[in-house]
Amino acid sequence: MASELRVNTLKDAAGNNSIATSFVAGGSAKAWSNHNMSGTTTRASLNIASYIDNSAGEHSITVTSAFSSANYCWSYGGKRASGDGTNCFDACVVRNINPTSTVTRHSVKDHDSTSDVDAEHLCVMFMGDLA
Amino acid sequence: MASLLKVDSLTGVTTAGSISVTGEGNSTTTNLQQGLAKVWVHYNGDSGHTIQDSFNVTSVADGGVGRGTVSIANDMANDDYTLQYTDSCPDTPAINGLYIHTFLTGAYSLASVNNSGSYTDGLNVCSTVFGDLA
Repeated sequence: MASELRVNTLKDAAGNNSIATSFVAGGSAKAWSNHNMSGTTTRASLNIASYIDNSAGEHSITVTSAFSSANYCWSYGGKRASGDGTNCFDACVVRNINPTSTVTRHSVKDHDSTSDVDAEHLCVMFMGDLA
Repeated sequence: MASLLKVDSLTGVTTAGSISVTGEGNSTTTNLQQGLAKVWVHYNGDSGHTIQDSFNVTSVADGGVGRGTVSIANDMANDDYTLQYTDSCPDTPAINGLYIHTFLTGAYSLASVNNSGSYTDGLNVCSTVFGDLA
């Protein structure tokens, strides 16, 4: 049985639902993570090497297999310890610390007070080209 | 060399649920199953939570103003999955926050809030889940 299959296009057995394998590779998330910012351990993740707790509400995330550049894409989700409207938060990459091919530094702030807060669940997903 | 493969399902040889895909740099590999979104949905938060398009979703329930619960068709293995979301907002009041209310293996709920921290309906609520299927 083949352990490596080289093919340009996938279709179902009826010949429908064609997709180029470039979309399989390009359209797959290369890293994702769910972790509690009160610590530096993962709940679940793909291709995540480590977390660094820089300060309250500010964590760096390092991927195991590097991206080909620092131009990849990320997006967020998350949950505070209490799930009502006053516990909404905003997340972004820290503006004055540029992402690298392996590390991004993320900031979470309380939406109302803009104070730094640790999210109980910080969810980040990364799309892009691997090195 | 095959240029077209017709198949209805893909299964790993060594481990059924694990297939490696070579990345764009032609050397590093990534895991096919782990990199695939397991759930995604776009629904209208202001009109009965009507699903516009979705994958692996059975329904979106209206949990009250600004709140919706997405029911997952094929459940996740646990509630540790990662979930990203975004929303568009009506002109008034502006939605400045969207957050996860609950994580469950078979559902998750999102809430949209305005500047005052009050629940308010979004227009186009989009979310995506990555993690392990049950």
